[in-house]
Amino acid sequence: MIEHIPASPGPRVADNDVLLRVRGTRTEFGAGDQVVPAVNDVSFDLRRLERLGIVGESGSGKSALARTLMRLIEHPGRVVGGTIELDGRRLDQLDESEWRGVRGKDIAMVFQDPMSGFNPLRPIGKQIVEAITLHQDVSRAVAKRQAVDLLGDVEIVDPARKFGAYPHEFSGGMRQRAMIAMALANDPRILIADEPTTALDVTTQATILRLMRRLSDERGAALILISHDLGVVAQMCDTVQVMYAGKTVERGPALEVLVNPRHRYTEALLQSVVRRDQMVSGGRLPAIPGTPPNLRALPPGCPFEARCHVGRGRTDCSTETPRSSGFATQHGSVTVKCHVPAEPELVALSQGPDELRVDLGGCA
Amino acid sequence: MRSIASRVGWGVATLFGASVLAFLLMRVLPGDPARLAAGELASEEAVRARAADMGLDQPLPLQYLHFIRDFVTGDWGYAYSIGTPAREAILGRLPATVELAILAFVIGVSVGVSLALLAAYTRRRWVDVVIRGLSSLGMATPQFYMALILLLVLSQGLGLFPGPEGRLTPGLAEPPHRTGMFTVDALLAGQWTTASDAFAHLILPAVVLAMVPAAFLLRLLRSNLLETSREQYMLVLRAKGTPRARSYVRHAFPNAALPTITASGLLLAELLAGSILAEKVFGWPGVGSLVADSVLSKDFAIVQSFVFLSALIYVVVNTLIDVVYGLVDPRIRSASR
Amino acid sequence: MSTSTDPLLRVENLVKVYGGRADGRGGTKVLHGIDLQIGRGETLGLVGESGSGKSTTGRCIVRLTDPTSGRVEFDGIDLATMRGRPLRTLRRRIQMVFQDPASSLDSRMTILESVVEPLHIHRIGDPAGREQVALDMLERVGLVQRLCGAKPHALSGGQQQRAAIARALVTSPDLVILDEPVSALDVSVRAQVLNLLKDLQAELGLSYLFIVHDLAVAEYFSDRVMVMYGGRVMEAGDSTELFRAPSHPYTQALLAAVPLPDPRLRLPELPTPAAGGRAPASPGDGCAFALRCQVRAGRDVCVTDAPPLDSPREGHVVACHFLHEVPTLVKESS
Repeated sequence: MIEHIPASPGPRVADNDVLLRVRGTRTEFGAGDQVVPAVNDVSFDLRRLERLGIVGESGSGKSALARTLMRLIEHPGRVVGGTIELDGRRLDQLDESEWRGVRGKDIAMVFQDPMSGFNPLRPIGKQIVEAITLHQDVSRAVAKRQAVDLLGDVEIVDPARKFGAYPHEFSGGMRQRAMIAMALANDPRILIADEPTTALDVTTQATILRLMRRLSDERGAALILISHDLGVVAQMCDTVQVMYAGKTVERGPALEVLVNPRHRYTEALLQSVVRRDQMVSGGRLPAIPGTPPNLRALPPGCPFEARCHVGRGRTDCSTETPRSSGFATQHGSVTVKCHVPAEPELVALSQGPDELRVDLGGCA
Repeated sequence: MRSIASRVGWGVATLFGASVLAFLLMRVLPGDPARLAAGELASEEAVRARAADMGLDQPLPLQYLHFIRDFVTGDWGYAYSIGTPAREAILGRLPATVELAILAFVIGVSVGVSLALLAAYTRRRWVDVVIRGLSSLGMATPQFYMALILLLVLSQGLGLFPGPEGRLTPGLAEPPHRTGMFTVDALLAGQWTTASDAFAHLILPAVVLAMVPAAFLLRLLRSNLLETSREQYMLVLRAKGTPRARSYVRHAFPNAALPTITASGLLLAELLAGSILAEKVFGWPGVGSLVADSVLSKDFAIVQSFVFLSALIYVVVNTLIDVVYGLVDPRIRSASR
Repeated sequence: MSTSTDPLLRVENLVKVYGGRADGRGGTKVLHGIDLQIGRGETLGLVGESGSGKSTTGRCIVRLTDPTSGRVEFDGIDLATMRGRPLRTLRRRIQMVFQDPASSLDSRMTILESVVEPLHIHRIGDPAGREQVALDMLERVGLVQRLCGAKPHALSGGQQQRAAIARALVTSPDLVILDEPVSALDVSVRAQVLNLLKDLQAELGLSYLFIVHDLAVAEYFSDRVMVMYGGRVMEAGDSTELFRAPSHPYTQALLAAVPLPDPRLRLPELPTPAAGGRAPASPGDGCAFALRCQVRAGRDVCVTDAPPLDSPREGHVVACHFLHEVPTLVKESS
């Protein structure tokens, strides 16, 4: 039974209700001639209740971008430019102690590895209480009640008893739920999830993703989901931003970017991923040649040029940095940084999705 | 429960091995204990009679069993070089060593831990470099050399501390004996001057003995702290808005300190077993110098009793460490349930 | 003595217990009697989540760990209890590629040295010619000459895995166990390595045991597939058929959970049990999936008795007490 989601996000996200405005962010690592621009002039808007998916591979800068948004970058990295505006407030101008008031309160983050996200020597409940008391002026008892409620919200059975349990007594999926509970403790406006389900089994992943969808809606938080898994992003996100070599190369509604990709990297990625709905039986997978770029030695022009089946060797692709071009689509506008973007009407992306049909009462 | 029983079992096995070693040790060393006991001028017959007296003519396994039986009942042999029973000699010196060991341990741990925390926490590289340098110095400098330097500068030069005259200023009466540790006994008897005098004498040797434990713990804890600070939960703490100092002290430190419990215990055991060189330099009447002298004079009663005793101390300390570890680390606690 | 139509590998009732006592009691049973077969030139995909026992199965076959009991028949010879020289000689013919290429290559040896080493160990060919054999293999996997003198850390993940594959194939094995060979690689590189593995299989006539948790990759890459859960086989059969019409409740749950990269397709919201703790596999003799199964509907037999192996089709095996009650989910291609 397929649940077709509506063509536009509908009333959930209002186009002009911008919550977060990011302009020209630059984050570097290293020093001297070894400087690596992990995030290279990235700009975007995040609207209230929007679910943004940031997709990329190693070296794309997606994780660095997430950490930049919370100013979690540490030596040898540093944020060297750009503005971040949350509801009109300039976050990039805050000092460290002001940032501590933002982290865990206005913006919260869920990390990838649930195994090492908690201090193994203290009960999980206490660590959630810590998150609460750092930002709310409440008594220990009140904080504990809130923490137990949070554990219940994330569907942990018997939350009162689990409050005093230690991290190693939780399974991976439960620990991730607890992490989400901790992140939502102070009702943040934005929840950033950095590969939240990569370390989990696929069945656990499905429930965690569903949980995040429900909670972010219930609590009115916008979601920034960082993942290399196109399937996860497709299931969760309204908007998709594809990153490559520290830059955003394509951005637009998920229904456009993942169905009618325009940047050649997005297009190639979608084709090279093994997917059940487009099974390439027998034959070869259309692979992307080469390897992700070395950020230390980026060639001039488009960073994807050497691996691009269209742009490789073209003068403009190998010498000029592509500029943003916009496309109006039925789902919203798409921005692409490509000299030779694909025209979806001409793309041989063919066959529609294969359908899963439920037919009860037959023999297998 | 089963793990405690198995640990105790291993402890007993270790003690057995140590006792055999202790027993054999003295018998393989050159020199005839019977002659030493009888004296240089005694006749052959007298020596043989003495040997029979000491049970040296019996087969080795039997001698060993006697040794164990005697030790357990409190008869540790007779210290011929001193003229008192071995047990009295050793236990008489033990409090001095224990007093010294405890203070050295406290100083060593405090200094080691604070410097390690500072080195790991600071963002200024030079602080870390200096501390690491201190640690190397601490481990590389021979104790007796350090002792001499301290005495030269602080005692003779600046007159801040007493010289190598032992535990008390000569002429000062010992406090009434309760534990054998002068500072404690003096405090218990209300003798403030004696107490402070004893303490003043305790400081320099304790500092010297604290050097190695401090340097070692410093190095170990610093490296553990650096590793722990890279754990993801430290990043999570930061993302929660936790101040840096708090995340280090409340979260990183307990995790980093766990593996140092074992090291600390071993360092304590080593301190308790006495330190010969420091004792010699400071004239400290501890167990270490007693044993050194006994080895030279082939007083095997003292040596073998001491070897066995220090094995006992190590085993007890080790078992205690394991138990403490099990109580402190919740992961081990639930595994043994 | 086996003919070329006999399966290359036949595993019967493979059991693995960790930490048990000599009398067989105590310990954790990780494999509960696995049966599988791989034909010559065939790829068997072993699919499951963490704790399913798929990696342990692979390691037992290669004898990285010793099976507790059962038969592992390779080309007619039982490997399970072999030791010493005969086992060593047999190792030439069964090789393994691991998940993390960086740690499976010795960081102190150059790529070339790593690939030559198996030739030295098994004394293959004459010593003077071994280096050339290694170079040829490295070329075949697509690594240029100048990389061969480098150490692993100078190579990208995909290149490292190619080197690991070259090392595995240099002894001309018949069977290669691939344990999550692309999971640690970047998404854009996975297709390259999968294509390479397919090409090599055709060229060299290899059989593969392909251990993977990504169902789509399993479907694409394998001829036949075996689904494992809790150390037991849930379902096994032809890959395309099995994924088109999964018959076991666990296989269906697994497939239902896989997110597709098409945002127009939302997964059906199958109810799952609440997170009360680790979803335990039934430790006794019953079905491993009993405690999480929707079809079970509280019936005890699923917990007490091992499910029978039904064959709804030729070559297809399903372990379920209530096979006829499992809903049909058929994937139609348009």
